[in-house]
Amino acid sequence: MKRIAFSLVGFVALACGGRPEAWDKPFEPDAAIGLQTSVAVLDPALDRVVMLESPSHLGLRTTVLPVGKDIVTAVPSPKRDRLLVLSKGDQPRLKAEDEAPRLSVIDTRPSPAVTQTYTLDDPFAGLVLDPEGRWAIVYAGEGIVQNPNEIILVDLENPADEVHVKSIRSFGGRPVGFTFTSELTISGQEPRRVLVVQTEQDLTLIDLADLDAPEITVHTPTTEQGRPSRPKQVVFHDGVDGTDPVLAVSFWDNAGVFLLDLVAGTSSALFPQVNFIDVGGPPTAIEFVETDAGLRLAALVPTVQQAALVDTRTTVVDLVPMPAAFTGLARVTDSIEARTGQGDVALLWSAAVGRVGLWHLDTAIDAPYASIETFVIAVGVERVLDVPGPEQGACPDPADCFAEYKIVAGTGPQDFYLLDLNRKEASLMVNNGANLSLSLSPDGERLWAFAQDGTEFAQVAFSNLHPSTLSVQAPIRGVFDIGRPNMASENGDAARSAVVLHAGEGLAATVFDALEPDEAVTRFYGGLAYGGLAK
Amino acid sequence: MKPFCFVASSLVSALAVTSVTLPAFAQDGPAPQPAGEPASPAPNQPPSGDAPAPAPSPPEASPAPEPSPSVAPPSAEPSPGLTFLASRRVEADARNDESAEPPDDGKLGYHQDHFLGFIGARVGKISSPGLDPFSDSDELAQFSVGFGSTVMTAGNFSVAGLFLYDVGGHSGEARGEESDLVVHRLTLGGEGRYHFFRQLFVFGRVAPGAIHSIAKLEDHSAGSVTLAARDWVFATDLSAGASFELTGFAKGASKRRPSVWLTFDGGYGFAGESELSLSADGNAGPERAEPVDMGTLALGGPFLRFSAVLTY
Repeated sequence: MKRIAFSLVGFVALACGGRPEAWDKPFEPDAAIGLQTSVAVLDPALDRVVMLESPSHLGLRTTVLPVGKDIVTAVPSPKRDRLLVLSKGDQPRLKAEDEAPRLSVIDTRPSPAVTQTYTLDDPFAGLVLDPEGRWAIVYAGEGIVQNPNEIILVDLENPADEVHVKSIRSFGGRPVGFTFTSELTISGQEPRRVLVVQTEQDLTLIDLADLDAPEITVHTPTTEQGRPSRPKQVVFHDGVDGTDPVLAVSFWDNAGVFLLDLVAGTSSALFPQVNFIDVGGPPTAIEFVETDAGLRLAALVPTVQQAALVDTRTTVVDLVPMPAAFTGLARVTDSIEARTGQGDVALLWSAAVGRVGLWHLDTAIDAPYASIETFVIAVGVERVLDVPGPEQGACPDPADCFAEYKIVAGTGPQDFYLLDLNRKEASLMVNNGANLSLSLSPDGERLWAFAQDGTEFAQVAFSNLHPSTLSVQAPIRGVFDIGRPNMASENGDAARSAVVLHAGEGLAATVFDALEPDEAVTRFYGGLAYGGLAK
Repeated sequence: MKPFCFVASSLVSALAVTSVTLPAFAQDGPAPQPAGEPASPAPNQPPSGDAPAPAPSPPEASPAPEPSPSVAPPSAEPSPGLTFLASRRVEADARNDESAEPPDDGKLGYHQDHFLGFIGARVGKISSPGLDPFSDSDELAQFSVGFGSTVMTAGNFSVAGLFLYDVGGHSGEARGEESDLVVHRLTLGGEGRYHFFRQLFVFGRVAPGAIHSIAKLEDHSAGSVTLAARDWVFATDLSAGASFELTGFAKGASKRRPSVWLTFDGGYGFAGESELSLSADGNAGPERAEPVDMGTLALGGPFLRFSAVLTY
């Protein structure tokens, strides 16, 4: 009998099993990021990313990808074909098997997968990607002892390479912004890209072609109060007609701008020649533009309602009166089909004024007063969205390209405009008072507008500017326009789905045909947070 | 302590108690002796006046005992258990001086050939991942009920037919959403028994049947919608166990009368896999909702059951 009892004790021991802890962790809504062919939903409770693809008409496929523990942030690549996820790992890391901080790279083609993992020595909080997709920067350490000026450079095109640790010279500042240049041709040197690191009080130039070369630190000018000026914006130009590449830097609290001519140094391939030019007030936006007199740095100075055009070779400044105190400036030359001159065209806007302007820079020097035409709109402009064009991999068929449109979003819960730069028309899109979020389809053919936690959203097709109002049966968290994973064209133009993520407690989505959305032809998918758990 | 651990530990404790109680019970009276060697005079044998009974001779010197006429005639080779019970009967009768009971016929009688009904509890270990959304442990506790009858007897062997019904389930949470699982198990059992003596038999049981599972999940992603998956699958239980009669010791005859037994059995339950494809009932939930796929649920696994049985 004792044997029986002992056998039963053994049975009991066997029977006292459990379930994976994942079932005990509620889904916590976090960032959802639209990619070319999928929607990436962070699931930090389970240290993973849920990838949603639409492999067929109204279909939805879930792939779960474990990433590191304690996700800090995730950033999509500029082409939105990969996602980088930064995680802290186990902190404190007490055992050898505890997970170290890491950077995970998720590629979406041919199917979502973690294709590369970089282990880091310490936890970091910041992640920035190169607009050209080659470099990633990890920065802002969170250890008990931090070097705030340490940045980790990861070469994504050469995953076998070790990560590069750079510690920029610190004079009390810490990195707050990064600017990757395109390839710049410095006289006598191979073309190279430059990384400009902004701190609160200086700029550091890192030669990306030679990471072992010492970085170059440029102190910012002092303000009237004797403090270092805080850099605001960095722009660059590769130079024209054999001139040297040039960087320009504006400041939050200084009426001048830096012009840095990049030349070859005596002991380095890169050396900046610094010029400080007063433009009449703190500029809110700067940009290199081609004018009828050559390359100029345009700086908007709304405090005096004018713009300054700085000759990059002579540093001579031409002042152009503005019809309004414009604060925003963007070169839109490539969006306009029939340009009359050789100069650039810039879009001007302001958050405080219900006007936008088109600045024809091919007459900006000779006839500055006549170079600007304005449109009256009823909203102050908070931001301008670019409709993706060929440079962004959109519109494989030029007939379906709508890069001439700019989406002018107002401040607050107000209407928005579709600005047709070719026709010079502003089409008003009136909403019903909801605080709309806007998202553009990666193929550049549609705009989606929705109100967070509402149940209605709209598609505006650029082909006819017809808004289609649609509804779903659960609150909306986001609308994502994605292509098929096996898409025929580079940007998935063959067939597309609109994935409406819902804002309930779980993870659910309604899938529409993005090209012909019809709320009577949808499919609802619930329980997506169980993906990878149910077997 | 997890529920199963608690229940199962209780089971073990109960069995451990039983394992101690049985020998103790056996030692209540004199040690078992051959049926023809009663420890006291047979009740229907008149005492020989006031004369004391002759002192028993040493066992090794005593002649071969004659069977007492008052004791049920033993079989050719009486089992020790029957012999023991017969001696108990004789002793009890002598002690109570009651002559109302009919003579013990020595047969298994109603102890073997009877109708039965039972209630009890069953616990099983379900290792299927399909149980995970509904339970944080691997056990499945069920209430058991059944009835049946002996259909054939042959000496100490007999065969019974049974209908068994087990119902139970789990309520839990799956990533914060309420979940619920109810499992109905209906089986028809064939039970082969061997009686060691009237109050104890062991058995092996085969019980094919079906399982009906109802899995539910509250989905709050689009309002509050209850998703459910219902499925039938085939199932078969293979088990072995023992039954011990708790009543009827004082009345050893095989006359039919109600009696209470305690039964333990354990074994392995085989079951098909059911698809956990949960969808909203009726028109609830969003239009054109795809079912939520929670994988498959296989409710097979080892199990234990204890039950209280009423026979007649």
